[in-house]
Amino acid sequence: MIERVRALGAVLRSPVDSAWLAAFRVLFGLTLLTSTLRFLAYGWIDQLFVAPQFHFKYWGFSWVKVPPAGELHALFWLMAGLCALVSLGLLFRAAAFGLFLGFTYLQLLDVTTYLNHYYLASLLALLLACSPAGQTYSLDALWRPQLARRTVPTAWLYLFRFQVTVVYTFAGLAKAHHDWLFHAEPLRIWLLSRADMPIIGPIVALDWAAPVMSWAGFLFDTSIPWLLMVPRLRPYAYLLVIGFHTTVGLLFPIGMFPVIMVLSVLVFFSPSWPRKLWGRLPARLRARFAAADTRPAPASPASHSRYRLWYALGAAYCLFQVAFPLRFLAYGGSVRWHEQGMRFSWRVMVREKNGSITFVVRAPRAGRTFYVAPHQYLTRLQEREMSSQPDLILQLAHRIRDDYAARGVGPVEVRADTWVSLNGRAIHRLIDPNVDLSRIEDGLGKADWILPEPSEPPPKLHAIRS
Amino acid sequence: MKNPRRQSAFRPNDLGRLAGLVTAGLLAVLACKGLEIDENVYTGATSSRAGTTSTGGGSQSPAAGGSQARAGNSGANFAHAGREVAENGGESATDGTHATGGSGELGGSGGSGVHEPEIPAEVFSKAAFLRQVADCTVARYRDFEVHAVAFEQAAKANVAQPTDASANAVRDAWLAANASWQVAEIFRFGPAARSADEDLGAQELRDQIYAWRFGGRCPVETALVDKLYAAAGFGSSLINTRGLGAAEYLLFYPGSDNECPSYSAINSKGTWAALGLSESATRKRAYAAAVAANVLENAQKLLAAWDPAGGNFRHKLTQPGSGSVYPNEQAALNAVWHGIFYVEKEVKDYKLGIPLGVSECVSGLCPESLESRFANVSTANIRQNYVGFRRLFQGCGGNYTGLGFDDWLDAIGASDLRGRMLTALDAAQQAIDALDPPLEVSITQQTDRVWAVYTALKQLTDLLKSEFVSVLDLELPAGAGSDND
Repeated sequence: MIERVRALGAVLRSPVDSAWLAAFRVLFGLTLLTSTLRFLAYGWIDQLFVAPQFHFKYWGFSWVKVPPAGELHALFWLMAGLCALVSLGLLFRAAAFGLFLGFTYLQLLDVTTYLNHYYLASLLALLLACSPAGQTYSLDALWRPQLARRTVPTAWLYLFRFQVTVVYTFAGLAKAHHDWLFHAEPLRIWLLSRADMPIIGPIVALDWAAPVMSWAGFLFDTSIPWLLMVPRLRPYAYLLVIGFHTTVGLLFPIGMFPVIMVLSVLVFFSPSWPRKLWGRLPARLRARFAAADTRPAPASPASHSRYRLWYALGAAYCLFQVAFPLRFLAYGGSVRWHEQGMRFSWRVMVREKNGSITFVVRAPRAGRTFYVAPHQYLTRLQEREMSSQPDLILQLAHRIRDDYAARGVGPVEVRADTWVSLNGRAIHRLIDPNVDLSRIEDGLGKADWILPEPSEPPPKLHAIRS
Repeated sequence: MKNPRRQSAFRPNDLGRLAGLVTAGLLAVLACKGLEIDENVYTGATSSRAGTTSTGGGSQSPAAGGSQARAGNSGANFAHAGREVAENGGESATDGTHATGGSGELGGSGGSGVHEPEIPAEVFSKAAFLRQVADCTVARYRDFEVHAVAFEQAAKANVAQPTDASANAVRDAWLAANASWQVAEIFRFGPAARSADEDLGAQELRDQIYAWRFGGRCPVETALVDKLYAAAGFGSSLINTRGLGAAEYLLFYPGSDNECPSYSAINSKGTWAALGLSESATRKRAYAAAVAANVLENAQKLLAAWDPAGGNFRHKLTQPGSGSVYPNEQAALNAVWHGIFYVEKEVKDYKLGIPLGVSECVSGLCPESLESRFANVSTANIRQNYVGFRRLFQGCGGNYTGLGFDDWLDAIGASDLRGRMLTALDAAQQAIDALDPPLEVSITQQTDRVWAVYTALKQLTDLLKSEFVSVLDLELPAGAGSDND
């Protein structure tokens, strides 16, 4: 066993061309730069962070506050600058850590802005910041040649490949349920509404399109990382990746997600693939970097204890990435219904869920009952997200409790009249209407105030028939 | 047969090069995708095919001139209808075809029906639905414009020769115009919508015509003292000093007090008290005439925005894609859906919920929050709103025939949901019909009946916000949701 660990350690320490990591750094920086500029250009900063009077917090992160609008805008411009620095490889380490911290901070501001690919971007920024990605094809390496390296330990390559594999695998496993595989929902609902799209619209609205695409999506997600690992299949697998994500990107408003995935899977290619591109650059430019591009990684580690620390951190990271998405197993039932274990689990586009909710506030001392509509506190986007996610419903219930108590009606009880449709099913109650949510504290345990998921199948919808 | 050259073209190392280029290309394409939509929003481009796809009555040009030419006769009819409204203590005018129950009127708003679009019998398609919605919308705006002309003329006459009869005439004209607009309130998409709501093509024209929920008496009373209505820039002054809401106060409020705080300029400087009853009445007449003229101007702007010779929004709604603010039919239908949501937020929560004290009034009932407490037509307004809702949800024709969201549900196999929604719709209609006496009275004396309307509407909107949205895959306004995954 010890021998095997040592052998593994040797493999992980062995040098591999660092060109792949530099290319990833450049492309990742450009992608996040584009994403940041989109926020600035489309007014999303004000819509998502400034306009709401109430912000939903992640469990344990209620201390994260939303800064004033001016500071937020400045932060986004700073982020854009950091993205550019990361891409250029200038002041790389500080810029990459700043990018990770800034991007993560922005995600913590309001749960309703959660997207799987933002989470992925944060993780990749963290990995990048810890990696020696700034030592190759970078301005840092150009101006401080003593920093330049031509190789990195193989462990970095495996770690990035592992991260991408985790995303695809869990995204695939999240589709392994009855609705997706046997009722083609929610894909059928989404495709039917796109029947008027030019060229592909009539095709995706055909009866067989949703089942075929559901199975294709499931098989793609669960198999693509493994296909990418086989050198002979890799080119074809990459074409599949491009085709899949381009199709998804054209059909659905998923922003930068296709771009992030298409560039992320490049880590499966031969580590030297960027050098071919590099060879196309003007000779004079290449010559300037030549000196900085010839140094291999240190032949031996500074110390074995330092490597052991990195291995331990890497192993803990990998263990977390595998275990955390599986936490839904501890709750039982349908995670798409109760949402416990939904986030940070790569459950990408697996449900169409909408709800209507009214909070029933009873003030025994005042002898009054109030019926509170969420739009009194939330923007439309927040309300739509909240209305089907129990932990967010609980947070708003607490806000309403505090608000009404402050109005002088004394302590209040808050119940939720919640009707939710999952994948087009008839509406069912999501929250037990008898439970006083003002007394419930959010936590990691199973929430027994969430009612069981509906048992009937989703409706059989079809394309518009004349 | 394998081609060795082709095989070699896909060697991993070479493909890495290709991959980089494709990735960069994809990055650029997706980055530009959103920008393309934004360009569509702001071009306002028209098509050479404009106006050629109109059906029935909707093909008439809604140009202001033509409508004004008809205004004389129509105005008299509508004034009569409006008087009925007043005499019935706030019930809706009923010279149109009865729909279901006792209050739905398909002339819409006390109209004579001459502006109703001909609704062809068509099988459901999104394109056909959008055409009918567009024709229905233009018909509603045209109907309102006719009433706005009558209102403006009556208000002007009331300034020139003020008598009790002229005062009654202008009140009747306001009632008719208001009843017409309350149907059109639901059609809050395109130029009528608010840009703050992220609705595509928004030009804020609804708020210019009827700024309800903004303001109150004090801004109007301040404008009265300051003679803001006579200033050159009145048309661009704050919306809470203009529109049908301001006119209602000026025409119907009989008191001589004001609602401004004691520290406000008109009270602290004594300028309100200095006006005197006679001067106050004179100014109110002049102010009402200025408001009526401004309402007419904005009604004509709204029609012009839909006119093929103007903004041609009809074309944008019915021909989504290139040249339209809507990238596709689904996006255009999203906008219509946002319009009908008026029945949830504005009708259920604001017009009923706040006076009922369901959430905001700690002390109990809040009758002072009723929408039309000066003209006493709060019930009629809700009935007209519901007429507008049914015109979009079920169909714009007589007895709500024609294409509606219910036909869309049927067309995709969601007939069960359609049935449940129509049942909820009828229940809400019955509850609204049973609102007698009108809200201004029943809010305190028949509170259970008001609660019945609130509850019935909630059952309808519970479906509207959840199952309905899900099966039709309706979305939030473009841009409001950032990305998704």
